[in-house]
Amino acid sequence: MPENDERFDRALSDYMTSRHSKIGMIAPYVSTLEKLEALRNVPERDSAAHAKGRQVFLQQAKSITIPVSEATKLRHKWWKTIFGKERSPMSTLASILLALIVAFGGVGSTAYAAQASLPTDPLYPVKQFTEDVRLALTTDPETEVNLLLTLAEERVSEMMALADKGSQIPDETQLRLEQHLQLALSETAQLGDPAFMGALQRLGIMAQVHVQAMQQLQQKASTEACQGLEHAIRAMNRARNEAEDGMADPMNFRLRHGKNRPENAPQQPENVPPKKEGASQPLTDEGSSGQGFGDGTGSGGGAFGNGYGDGTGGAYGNGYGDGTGDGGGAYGNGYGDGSCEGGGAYGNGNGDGTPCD
Amino acid sequence: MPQPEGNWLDGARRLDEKVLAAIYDAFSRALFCYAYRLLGDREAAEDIVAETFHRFLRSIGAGGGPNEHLKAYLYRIAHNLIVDHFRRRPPIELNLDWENITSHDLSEDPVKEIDHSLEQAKVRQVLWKLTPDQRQVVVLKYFEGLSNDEISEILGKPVGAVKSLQHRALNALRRMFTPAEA
Repeated sequence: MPENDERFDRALSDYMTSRHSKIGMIAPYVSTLEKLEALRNVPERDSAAHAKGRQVFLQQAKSITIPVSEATKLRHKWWKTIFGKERSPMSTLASILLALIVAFGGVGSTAYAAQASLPTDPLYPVKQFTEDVRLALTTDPETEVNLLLTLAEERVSEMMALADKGSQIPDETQLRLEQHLQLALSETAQLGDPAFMGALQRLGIMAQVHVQAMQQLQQKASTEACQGLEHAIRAMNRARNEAEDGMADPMNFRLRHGKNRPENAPQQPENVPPKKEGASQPLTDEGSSGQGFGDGTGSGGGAFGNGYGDGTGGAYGNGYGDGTGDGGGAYGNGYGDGSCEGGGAYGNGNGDGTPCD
Repeated sequence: MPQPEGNWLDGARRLDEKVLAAIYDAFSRALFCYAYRLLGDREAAEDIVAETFHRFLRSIGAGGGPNEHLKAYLYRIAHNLIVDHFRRRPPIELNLDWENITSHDLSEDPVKEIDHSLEQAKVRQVLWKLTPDQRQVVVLKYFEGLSNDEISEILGKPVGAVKSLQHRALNALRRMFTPAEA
């Protein structure tokens, strides 16, 4: 009941302010709160990790102004430059020739030599340019994903070569690796089903193989190089996890990585009760544990289904009706995350109830 | 001191380095603690922090991101990532943070440290049995020290619902910790 909740909230606030206050309605909960204390202390965050994370974050911010990760924008930019929709200092013909030579021929000795260069070499910008041109000229999404994975492999090879030489791995290279992987995931989300699975499979295997190789190299690399490799390992592991998740749940993957997906859109439900699928259920009890599943009603769900429906609370309707349907709406994969009286207000929602008092 | 979130958001949209650094400094440790408490894994918690800020940047880079309540926005992203991580790698056994145990001063009693870590893992397991909203309310209120209003922003629910969730969460925890008495 709301009055009870209100009084409980005040009592808990008092308790949190002064731990000795064991009076009133909080008294039965004191031992529970004391058990929770086990999680109070968190190990001090490693200052090096903080500094590194901060540095990477600020580097990423700088890269936003040149969004290499937006393939479409990049492609349009190059397309316009090459075919003269924008004014260019070079003639259209010269641009086309340069692009063809660099992208396909590898005939130009400079461009050819640059392909083996490392991020610390003077020729490396030529290599980057070549890669950008190749990306810009690739119009088939599947080919683009394959190219991005090849480029990600190339970044890892460069990092390993630098680590092997005892050199530090530049942040820009790490950032570029992340951009390749991110874009590969994003482009994969646009592929049709057979190509989608193939791309994710390739990504997963590629990541696994390279993580193993980097871990082996870490055993003999310098501390600085190890840190750089660690960053790359994490990026690859994240991409691999995403690929595995994508193969297990393609729809969710497409929602998460598709181009119209908002960053803070809700995730899939994390703990769907195993015995409760499908439409909302009438209230049931599960024996002495008192697990109750409610039949909350709700409404909401915005464009991306991030609405919350305040419903009425089923048979235990004296409580607060908070059947929530995160992720309903347009994508229709909502779930009810009601506590006690929540239920699947949307589509195939699953109620996730807990005991009522 | 109240956070100048409005100013920060303006600065963040301009990709002002000083503002972005201030945002990182203000929230990264709290997000790390939040993730660590729920996952018990330092490396995973670091990943959550990095990914949260990365997504924030991507969002503002694409012209999106929060209009207000930056803190709530970051916690919401972090929460989604934590849940995602947990779904991907649900702990089969009690997850002991050996790195934490072994990194302690040798003068500490190792048995005591292991006991403490075990206790943490047990509490964490129980927390994950709560509903997602209940778990968020408990952790954000009791450990992170957020106000009901702030939690209401994060969950996107009325303050009354937050209080209700809190009450039910504590009831559920009481039952799970002491089933015979409850």
